[in-house]
Amino acid sequence: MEKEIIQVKHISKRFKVSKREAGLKNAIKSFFKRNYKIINSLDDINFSIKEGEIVGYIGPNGAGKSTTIKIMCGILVPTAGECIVNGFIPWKDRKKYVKNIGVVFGQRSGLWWDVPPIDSFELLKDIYEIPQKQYEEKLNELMEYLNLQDIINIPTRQLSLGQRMRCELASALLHNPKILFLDEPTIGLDAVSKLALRKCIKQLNEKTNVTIILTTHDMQDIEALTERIILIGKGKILYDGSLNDIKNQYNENRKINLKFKYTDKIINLPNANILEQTEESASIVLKHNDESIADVLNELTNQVEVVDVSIEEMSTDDIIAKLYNELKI
Amino acid sequence: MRKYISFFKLSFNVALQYRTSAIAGILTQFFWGIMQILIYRAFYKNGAGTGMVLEQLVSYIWLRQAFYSLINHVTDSDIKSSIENGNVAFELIKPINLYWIWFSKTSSSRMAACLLKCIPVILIASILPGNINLNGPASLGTFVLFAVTLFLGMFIMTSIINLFYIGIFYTMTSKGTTSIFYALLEFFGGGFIPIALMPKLWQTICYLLPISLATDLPFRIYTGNINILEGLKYVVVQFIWLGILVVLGSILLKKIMKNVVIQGG
Repeated sequence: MEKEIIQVKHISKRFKVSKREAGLKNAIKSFFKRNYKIINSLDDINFSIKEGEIVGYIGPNGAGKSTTIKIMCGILVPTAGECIVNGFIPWKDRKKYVKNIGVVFGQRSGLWWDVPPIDSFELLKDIYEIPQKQYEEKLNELMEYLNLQDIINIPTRQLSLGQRMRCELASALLHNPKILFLDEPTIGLDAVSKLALRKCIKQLNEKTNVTIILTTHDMQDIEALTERIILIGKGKILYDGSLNDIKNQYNENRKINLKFKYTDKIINLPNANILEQTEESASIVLKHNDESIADVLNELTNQVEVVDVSIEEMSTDDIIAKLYNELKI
Repeated sequence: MRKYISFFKLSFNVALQYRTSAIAGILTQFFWGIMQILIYRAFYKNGAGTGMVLEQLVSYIWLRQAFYSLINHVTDSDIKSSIENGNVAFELIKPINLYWIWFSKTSSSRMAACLLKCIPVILIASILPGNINLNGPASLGTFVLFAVTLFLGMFIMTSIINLFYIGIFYTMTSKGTTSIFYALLEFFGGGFIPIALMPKLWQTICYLLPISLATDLPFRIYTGNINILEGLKYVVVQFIWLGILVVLGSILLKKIMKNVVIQGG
């Protein structure tokens, strides 16, 4: 069995937040007396992750994803619980521990804004004490992977978001981390940049066996990159397993919309139900989702003269939305 | 150590890019200097002022203006906003000590800003006519001691500012506290009235605080208001204060890191 590189046991985190009602009167009141509310951001979180795995950590906004990531990165101390990553307790041995992790926060920038990314990289070389030769090799490799040749010498503030994200990813990988935390890495990217970034991440994992924890709201990221998801809602883990299982469980059966030449025959199929039929169209839903569409279509063409076919399927987004709804998170 | 030097170099380079701000700074410093000198000259004509002779005061004012960026209390807006919006997380995921990163960033941007401003101000102030010009140092020894105390003073001011950054973790925002901080430092550093011209009681208070070791001491040494022997004693005092402030800041920062809240999702 592969080594478990991340173990999270019974982690809880409570925050004290000040709250006040709307309006000027309450603003003045709160100037003298603050009301605080305790929020349970994380409540008894448990999971473990094997070396080389890519895990999608998903949940609606405010579920506690970023808090968990921050705890695993060593920048937040949990209220209770244990967490061992790569043999370290992240927040206790922060300086030693962080040498082996890389982090990309999609909504923030870790690069120096006024200078080209290459200057930031050079600084990281000294910060992580990477030997010159190793640094050059890694940089060349990353430049090729992430296609950075043309952008590495342009000041960061003039890069597009997609270009910047590729540089951010490179900056998180220069020191060859064992674990990579990606917090919404594709947020705001266009379709082409998203695809390119996903491809890079996938290749990287295959080649270097880096463990990746990915948080995102983009289900296509999850589908493209990972088998396993951990679903968190209101600070609790609600699901830990494969995405496909969720899909099979929550998916509605596929629906076929059909247009054909005028006929008064009534369609009759053994493995599908007819929802409605007119003289020129019909909607059919499969009895089981694993029925072969080809068989159904074959049967249909025997019965009517098909003009147009479209197949409706629930997207992963629909499935996840349905799941969130059902779990009331 | 090397990582902090690299960090220093990069932020020095970045700070050197702000040319317009440097030119604006030079002009401000000039007007301010001339204005102050003319006001004090009027006072001195009427027999006021006992702590410093006018000639010393004029040089004192010019030097303060020339090295304003080096020893002033102005805080680094990048560092402040990084605490306020949570970008400080990027420093915390690196194998570096946050205290020294702040230290090197704050001092490097000061040195860069000073480098751009001090030479023009000193040159022009030296050739001004009518007894409002900057005089040379009394001796080479005075000058060396001035340079040493100036640098130590800059580090003392940086470590005071580091304490201010740590405070932002408590207050979550630097609005308001920044103004209070600036006003206190400006007053106790002799920015409104040179300390030597203050009433006795206030002088004592100012000299007990470490602020004057950055904003006042080096210039009094240069002008000869403090002699070399006494100046050397003050160097020791500077080292002691620097040690206290750095240790205090490091301990507070370490403590606060246990309860830190990184803001923003």
